[in-house]
Order: sequence, then structure tokens, then C-alpha cells
Amino acid sequence: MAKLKCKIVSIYAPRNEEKALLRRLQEMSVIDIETAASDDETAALPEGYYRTDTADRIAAYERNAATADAALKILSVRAPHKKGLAGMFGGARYLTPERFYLKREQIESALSLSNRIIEADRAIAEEKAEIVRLNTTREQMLPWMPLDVPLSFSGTAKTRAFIGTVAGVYTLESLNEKIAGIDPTLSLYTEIVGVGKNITYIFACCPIGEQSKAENALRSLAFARPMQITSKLPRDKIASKEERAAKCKERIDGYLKEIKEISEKTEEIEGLADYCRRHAERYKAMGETAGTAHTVMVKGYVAERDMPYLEKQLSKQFTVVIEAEDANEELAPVQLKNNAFARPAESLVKMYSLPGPHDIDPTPITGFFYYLFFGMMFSDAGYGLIMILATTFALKKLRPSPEMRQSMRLFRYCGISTLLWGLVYGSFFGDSISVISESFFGHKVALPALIDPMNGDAVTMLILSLALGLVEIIVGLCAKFATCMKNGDKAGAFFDAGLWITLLTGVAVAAVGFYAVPILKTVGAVIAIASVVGLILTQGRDKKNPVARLFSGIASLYDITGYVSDLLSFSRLMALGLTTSAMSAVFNMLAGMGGRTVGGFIMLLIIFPVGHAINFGLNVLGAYVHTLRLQYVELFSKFYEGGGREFKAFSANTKYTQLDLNSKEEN
Amino acid sequence: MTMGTFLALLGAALATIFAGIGSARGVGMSCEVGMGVLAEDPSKFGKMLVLELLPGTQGLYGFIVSFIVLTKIGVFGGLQSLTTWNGFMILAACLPIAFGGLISAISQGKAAVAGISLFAKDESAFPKALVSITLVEIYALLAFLISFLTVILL
Repeated sequence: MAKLKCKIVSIYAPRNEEKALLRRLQEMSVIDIETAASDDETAALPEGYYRTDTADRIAAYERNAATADAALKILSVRAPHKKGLAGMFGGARYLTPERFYLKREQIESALSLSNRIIEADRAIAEEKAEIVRLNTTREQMLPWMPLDVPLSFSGTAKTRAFIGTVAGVYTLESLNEKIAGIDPTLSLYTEIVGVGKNITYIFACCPIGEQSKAENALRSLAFARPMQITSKLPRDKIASKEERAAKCKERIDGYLKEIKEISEKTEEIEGLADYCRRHAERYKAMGETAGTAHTVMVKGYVAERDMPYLEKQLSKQFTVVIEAEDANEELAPVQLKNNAFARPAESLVKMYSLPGPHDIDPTPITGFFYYLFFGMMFSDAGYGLIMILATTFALKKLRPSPEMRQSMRLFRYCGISTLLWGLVYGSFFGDSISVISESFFGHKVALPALIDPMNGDAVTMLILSLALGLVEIIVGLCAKFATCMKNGDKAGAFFDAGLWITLLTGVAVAAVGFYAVPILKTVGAVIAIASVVGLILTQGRDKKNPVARLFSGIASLYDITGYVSDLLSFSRLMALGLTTSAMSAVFNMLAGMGGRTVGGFIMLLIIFPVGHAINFGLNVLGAYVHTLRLQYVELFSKFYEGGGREFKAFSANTKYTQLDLNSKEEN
Repeated sequence: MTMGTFLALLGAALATIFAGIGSARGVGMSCEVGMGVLAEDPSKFGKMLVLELLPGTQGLYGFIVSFIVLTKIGVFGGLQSLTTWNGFMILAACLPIAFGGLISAISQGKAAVAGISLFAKDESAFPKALVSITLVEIYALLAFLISFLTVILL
């Protein structure tokens, strides 16, 4: 339930064992290797030590990893693999060492497969561009299809031919009339080849002597020669373009087939990507490692807990000397350790910021309240049940990645809480039980409810929300008390945290007094007033001047507005809880509207699942976000600073495959 | 059907209409920006969805208030005849969430747009963006509380 204690460890080993040592460390993934840049103190090397420059090897591996990734991306588009649900959850395949570590020829074959995919993909793109080009020319040529001479035909020995377009749409008759109107003496033979949009494709022919007259006449019709003049017949040209396009298509099919064939070996390429990434990581670590000609020194942070494991494993396999000293808490990276109940909430803390050097680990508090409040906002036994079943199924069957596993657990705890709150509010898919029993079986059966938000208990719900909010705020202040004590700030603990705790408790006790036991009114008021006096006297304790001290003591009471607004913020527990119930009620009403008929039954079958799916989606998001906000703003503001650096273990960092360490240990 | 019933219905309509307009504009704004970011990096979809949907709650609040008014005046069976004054009271009770929802949802939409730009630049800033955007929510919540409690208790 805390931050793990760290040691700074220096491992000395002979130079010739460096690669094997790093490989073993990578497998164990318990050490956070200090990077030279991150910490100047460790960067200062003892005399005679130097670092090897591994930048080009890192680059080479990263390039190959990028090649493999590009190939995989192409595969996922061109030959989508049925990954199934398991793939969606990012589950890496666990492999035995024999299958996990690749041989040289496997690597080479996977690399050449990747390159073939990338080339095929590029070729497909080129062929597709070619098809577009061919189609464009074909379309330009298409109107000339009926023409029996090539477009370059310019006439016989005694005639001149004109092939081209004129502006406007003509029939043969209107064209001839138009030409006769321009030059009545001209004897021009015309033929309409085709008609386009505001354009007419024509063939015209005249005796050679009348060429200039014909040209003049045609010019006034805005005659233009075609863009592409070829010596082939238009229909042959079109046919040849079509043929070439068909060939392009065939080649594309060939490439696609090749890609499909290679896609059978997707796993090999995934292995390659992981292999390259693993090696890039290892060379990065090697670049950080200092050494002399004959020895190397790996320096980094290791959790105290992992020390025996590290020492045992390394000394079994290598000739090493391990030195360990306590790490400076200000600089050490943070690794959290929590029990199974709180661990899923670590991701929520991590998302905000890891605990800084003065912080305590807030995960257990956050976890508890996150589960509690999530359930209160989502508050439906049916939805809770769905969450529990879905997450349990995912955990059991889909082999999710470690992070995914934790978020599944997070949502399972949230689901349990949702189920319980649903029972408190008497809500199972909203009021579905009473609606369905009433409209389909004639008499109403309702789920018993401790608090019924839709029938008048909303005020109770609001009070409950604020009360739980007050509890969380007080717990937050207790955490502040603990944090101050940990840092040796006793005055801060008792005066800044303690007095506020008593003040808020006093107010709460008095509030109970107003409702139930009158005597508590006085008790609470006395506690509260005493705390206020205490605050006035102590909050200015860093001021020397007694008047200034008194004034800053009084001014500190202004913080009470902050507490009030924090408290009001918890009313969202009720508002979002109500949203779930009210929307369920609407959908249930719609679903039950058809009554006891066939149509009504069909309506129920359609509206009920769809409506509840919408409601589930909307409200699960709302509950997630607003619960998170309550933690970050209302809880963390009381005691938590954050700013810790994450412990990044030197590990394989693989994406698709994972070494099954257990089977290795057995071997 | 009396004048009072009509006024109560009008209140219910206003609550859904205005809070709905606000949320529609807010979510619309944030989605516009969000799509742009997703075009660059589709892997951000999950968190982006959370940021985009934040201005959507106001519409729901308005809807709940309307729904409760509708049940109260018996639209779903046994329509009641309210006195004019009672009608005015319900109408007045609906106004906080109608206008509070309208304005706060649009403001929250603007905050969400800024938050999405922040998140697009720096993925680790997600919690900061999230928290900042939800700061606006409290005012919608207050408006909702007043409308809701009045409608329930009237």
C-alpha cells in the first residue's frame, strides 16, 4: 500500500558478458536504467570509464521495426486477419523461449517478407494510378468511338478533313443550316460523331481548294481539334486502353494474392517487429552503460523488494559484483504497490500524476471512493451485472494485456458497486420489473428499494450524496494529516489538517442534531466553534506581528467557501444517479407501451435492448468522468501534490509476443 | 386542459429545448475539433470521446426535469387540471435548468474545444483538460438541483 523503496544498484561485469547480462536484465525487467541525460550525478563517470555509442545500431533496429510495422499495417488493411475479441484486448501471445527467440534465418525471412509486402503495396498504388490515367484517356476518346478514321486523318489527295468539336449542341440539319448561314458558297460535307455536354463532336470534309473558307466557317463555330491526336482508329485506341487497364487489374490481383499468402505468416512479422524493438531497447541500455576496456557497469534503480531476485539470478549466471545503496527519495522513480483491491485504481493515480517525494500513495483511498461513487452514479443492478459478467469473461477468456487486465478489474469492482447501489435504489434496468409485470402480466411487481429516487426519495439521495462527500473530504484531510506527519510537519498536521477535520466533524454532528438527536446540535456547535477559534489562533503562526497573525487567522476562515463548493460538487452523485434512473424509466415506458399484444411484445424486444444500450453507454461515460473528477479535484486537492517520475523498467517492450517466463524457469 | 396545465407543459418544453440546444451546441463544437484530431491520430478515440461528451449532461438534466413535470401533471395517463398559479410555479421551476443548462453547456463546449487542443498536443495533459472542463459543470448542476428540487417538492 505504498511507494516501493528503491535502491541505486551498480552491477559490474566482464565486458564479454555485457550482451548476455543485458538480455537477462531485460527479461527480468526489474531495473530502471539511469539515462545519462536524466541525472547529472550518475553521468559523471569514474576515470577510465567510457560509454559506447550505439546510436547507429539503435537506428538500424528501429528502422527494421518500422519496416515490420509498416508491413503489418498494410496486412491489416489489405488482408484483414480475423483477430477476434482477444486481439481487441491487446493480448500478446505468450510464447515459450524456443518460439520467442528468433533464429537468424527466421529474422531474415520475416524481413524479406515485410519488404515484399511493402513493395507489393507500392506497386498496387502505382498500378491504380495507371488505371486512373488509362481511364482518363479512354473517356476522352470515348465520344470518337463511331469514327471510322483515326483522329490524325487530315483528308485524301483531293479533300481536306476536319475532326474536332464545335461549341453548342447540333443535329446534322441544324449544323448544316448554321454553316450555310455563315458561308453560303462553301461546300462542306459534315457528319455528327457524337454529342456531349454543350459540345458536338463532328467530322467535316471539303474539296482541297475550299480549305481556307471551311476553316473560317468552322472557326466561327468555335471549332477545336481533339486533345489527343493519334494515328490509330478511336475504337482500337479505346480497346487497347481497356486491355491495358485490365492487365493492370490482373497485376493488382496478383499482388493482392501475394499479400494474402504472406498474411498467413503475420505472426512471423509480428515476431520480427518485437525482436527489433527488443534489440533497440537493449542497445539503448548498452549506450547508457559505462565501462572500461574489460568491464562494464550497469547502473539503475531497483525496488528493494526485487533485490534478492536480482542478486540470485545474476550471480547464478554471470560473474558479477553488485553494489547497492539507498536511493535519494527526491530523485528515485516511483513504483506503487497495492493489494488486489486497490491495484486497479493505480492507473487512475498514474493518469493524474505519480506521488512526488513528499506524498503518500493515495491509491487505496482513491480506489475505495472511486468504486463507491461510480456505483452510486451508475446505480443499476442490471447494468452492474452486465459489467461484472463482461469483465469477468474478458479476464478469463481473452488474455488481456497487463494494463487491460487492471482496467477490467477496475470496472469489475465498479460493476459490483453499481449492482449494490442498484439494489439500494431498487433499480434493475430501471423500473423494468414493475413496467413489464404490469403491462404483460397484469399485476405490478416492484423491486423493493431502500431509497427510491424516482418516487420522492430524491432529497434523501441528495443528503446521502453530500454526507458521503463530507466523508471523503474528511478522509482527504486525514491523509493530509498523515502526509504532514510523514514529512515531520507536526504543526501543519494538527493545525492545518486536524482543526479542519474537527470543524467539519462538528458541522456534521450538528447537522445530525438538526435531523434527529437535538443534543447533538449543541455538541456539534461547540466542537465547530472551538475549531474555528483554534484556526484563528493558529493559521497565522508564521507571522511575527500579533495583529497580522490574528488577521491571517481570520482570513483563513475564508477557506470555508472552498469546502462548501467541494461539498456541493458531490450533488452530482445524485444528479447522475437520477439520470440513469430517469432515462431507464423513459425507455421502459416506451418499451411497455404496446401492452399485452404481439405488436407490444415486438416493441418490447426492440426498444428495451436498444434503449438500455444507449442509456448504458451515455451513463457509463458520465459515471467514469465525474467520479474521476471528484477524485482529482475534491480529494487530491486536500493532500496530494504528485509530480513523481514513473519507474520505467528496462524490459522487452514488445507488442505482439510475450516471453512466457514460467516455462523458462521450468526448463 | 386548463391554462395551468398548459403553463406546466410549457415549462417542461422549455427545460428540454434550451438545455438540449446548449448541449447540442457544446457537444457539436467539441466534436468538430475532436474529429480533426482523430484524423491525425485515431488511437486517441477513447479519451477524445470522454472530452467530447462532457457538455452533454445539461441536455440530460433538462430532460429529467421535463420528465418529472410530465409525470407530475399526468401526461402519461390521467391528465390533471392545474390552477394557473400552479402552472406558473412549475414554469418558473423549469427556468433555472433551461437557461443555466443553455449557457453552461455552450461555455463548457468552448472549454472542451480548448481542452481537446491541449490533449492533442500533449497526451499526458488529459486529466488536466478533463478536470478543467468539468469545472463548468458545477453551475449546470446547481441549476439542475434548484429546478429538480422545486419540481419534486411543489
